[in-house]
Amino acid sequence: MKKKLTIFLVLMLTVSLALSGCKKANDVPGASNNSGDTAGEGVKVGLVLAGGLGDRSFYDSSHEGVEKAKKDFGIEYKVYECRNDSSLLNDQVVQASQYGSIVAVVGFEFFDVVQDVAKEFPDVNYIYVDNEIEGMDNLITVSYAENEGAFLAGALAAMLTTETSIEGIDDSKLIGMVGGMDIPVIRNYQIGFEAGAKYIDSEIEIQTTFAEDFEDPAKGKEHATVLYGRGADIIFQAAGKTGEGVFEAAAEHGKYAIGVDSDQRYINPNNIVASMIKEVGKSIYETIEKIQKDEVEKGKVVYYGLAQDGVGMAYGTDDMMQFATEDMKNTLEDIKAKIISGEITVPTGK
Amino acid sequence: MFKELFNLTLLQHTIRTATPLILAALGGLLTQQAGILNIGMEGMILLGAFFAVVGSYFFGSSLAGVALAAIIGMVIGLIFALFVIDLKSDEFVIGIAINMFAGGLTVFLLRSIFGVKGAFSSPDIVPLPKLNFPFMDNIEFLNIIFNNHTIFIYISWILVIFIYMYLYKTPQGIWLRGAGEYPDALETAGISPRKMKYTSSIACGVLCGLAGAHLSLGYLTLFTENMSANRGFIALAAIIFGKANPIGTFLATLLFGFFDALGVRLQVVGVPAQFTQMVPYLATIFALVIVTKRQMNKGKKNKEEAINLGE
Repeated sequence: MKKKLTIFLVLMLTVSLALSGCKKANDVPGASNNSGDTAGEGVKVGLVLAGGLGDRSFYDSSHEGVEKAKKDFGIEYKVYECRNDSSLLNDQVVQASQYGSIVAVVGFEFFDVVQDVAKEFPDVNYIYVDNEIEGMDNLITVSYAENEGAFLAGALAAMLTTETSIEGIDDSKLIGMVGGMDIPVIRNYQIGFEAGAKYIDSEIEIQTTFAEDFEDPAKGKEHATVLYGRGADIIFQAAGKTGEGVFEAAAEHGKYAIGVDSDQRYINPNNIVASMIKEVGKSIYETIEKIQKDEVEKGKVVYYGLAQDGVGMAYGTDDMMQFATEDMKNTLEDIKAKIISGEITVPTGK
Repeated sequence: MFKELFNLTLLQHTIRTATPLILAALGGLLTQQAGILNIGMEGMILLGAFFAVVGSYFFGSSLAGVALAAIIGMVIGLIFALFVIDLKSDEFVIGIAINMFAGGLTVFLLRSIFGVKGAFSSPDIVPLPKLNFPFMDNIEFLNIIFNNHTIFIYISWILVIFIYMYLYKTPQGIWLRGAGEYPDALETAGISPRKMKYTSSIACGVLCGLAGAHLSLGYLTLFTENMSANRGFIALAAIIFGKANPIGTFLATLLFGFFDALGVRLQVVGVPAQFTQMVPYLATIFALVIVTKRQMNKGKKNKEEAINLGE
């Protein structure tokens, strides 16, 4: 009897867990009454994330993209989160493929999975974000020039780190970066960031640490504390939720940070001076549009850099105190133009 | 370079990193001593961290947050005990169930209570105050290492001594250890091993809850999904490493904290991240080898002595 009760209760626990995990972000089918362009009406899009929603940067941005597509084209969508559980990657992509005719796959982790599954579902169009694969007809990959965006972030950090009129900033030329993991994508941020800082002032010293974890804010705080302790005034974070700890450290030490992927200033406008954004949402949105209109080049890599407004800087909303002066913003616009025209070549880490 | 690596902030960092581990490990070693292998600490910490934020946010007081975390810890400890002791289920399975349950529940509640996903931070979360002892302000060593911490850091140190005294100097402590080592003997002596196991399990829940509260209110002022980040398992490793002795476990957690802190600093002076990431684990393996070696020697010696006596 007791044993049965135990089994029953454990099952209850498991089922309740499974159910709580199942809660999809948006199961409601898309309403399609607010748009003149009805090209995508009824089209179903599955959005598969390697992590989960709520990172306030990368994945949330992709979600905004499909949300916008829902509003503008009247598509329907469903979100499939893998919550960093690699055993789910395959299943979730398959699920999404059975659901939709377009599947957006977000996260470098899917490299093998997406190629396998795409073969099984030749009628489904796949948009794979954050990697480069060529030669499969139903697979479009989107690659970002993080290095170009980070170049601007580095330039801004270099300009701010000697701006002693801002409280808490001294004239030392040390800036820092906390990366999530030592992987090519993050390296791409790092290399761009360093190059951008050096472009402004070749004497700038940049120290980078890798937390080797995207989900541990306490660790991020320790890394940032070490860098601030060594005299860095501004830290650029490219570390997912670990980066939340960087912001906490900035607030505690009265120093500054630069956010990543989405405009993160709202998290703490007094210490986050700006964010380098990566328009994951925009790229997914535009690719969905292209697939609708059948304008897409099959089996190709789509590049999103400064020229395509795929990466860039964001300074929050107007009611926030602005640390970056108009001069600095103009300088950054200049640099941006030079990168687009090819006058500056940004080194790449990919 | 040496001075860049080894300075007082390294020790400060060690203490900060070790504190949640100490609190959780002190709880875990009580159940360990009572004969229960508790791998559910990870989930208990996570629940503590979440409910500490809930309490602090809604009642506007960090104390309320801590109290709520402790209460939740108590409830989970009780549930754990109910399953493991009375329903005689596998402690391993229940531990995993608690971890998964905590992961799912906090995500679910984060969405339904605060309406956010992933992370929740707000100026309305009241953090634990940092204690400042003015007499230390002017002595650099004391100031950096012992001053301006949240109260949990001091509590954790006091608890180490307190739990040591309890386990080894009080009858209740002996009963508790007896419940793990030889429950039948304890039963014969008229003490219920069940009661001692329950006590240890609930105490473990409370301490893990406090570890979580320290993480989300003392150390950071936010909650993110899975923010316990395997600290429950590292605490378990520290318990095994320290042979469930409070002093030994305390030292083990400090060791983990130290190598964690050292790892970050090694990166700053240019050692690759992949290498620094190995450091804590390498150190653990070395330490384990040394400890086991010493034990083996001791065992050999004892045997030899026994033989000598026999002759």
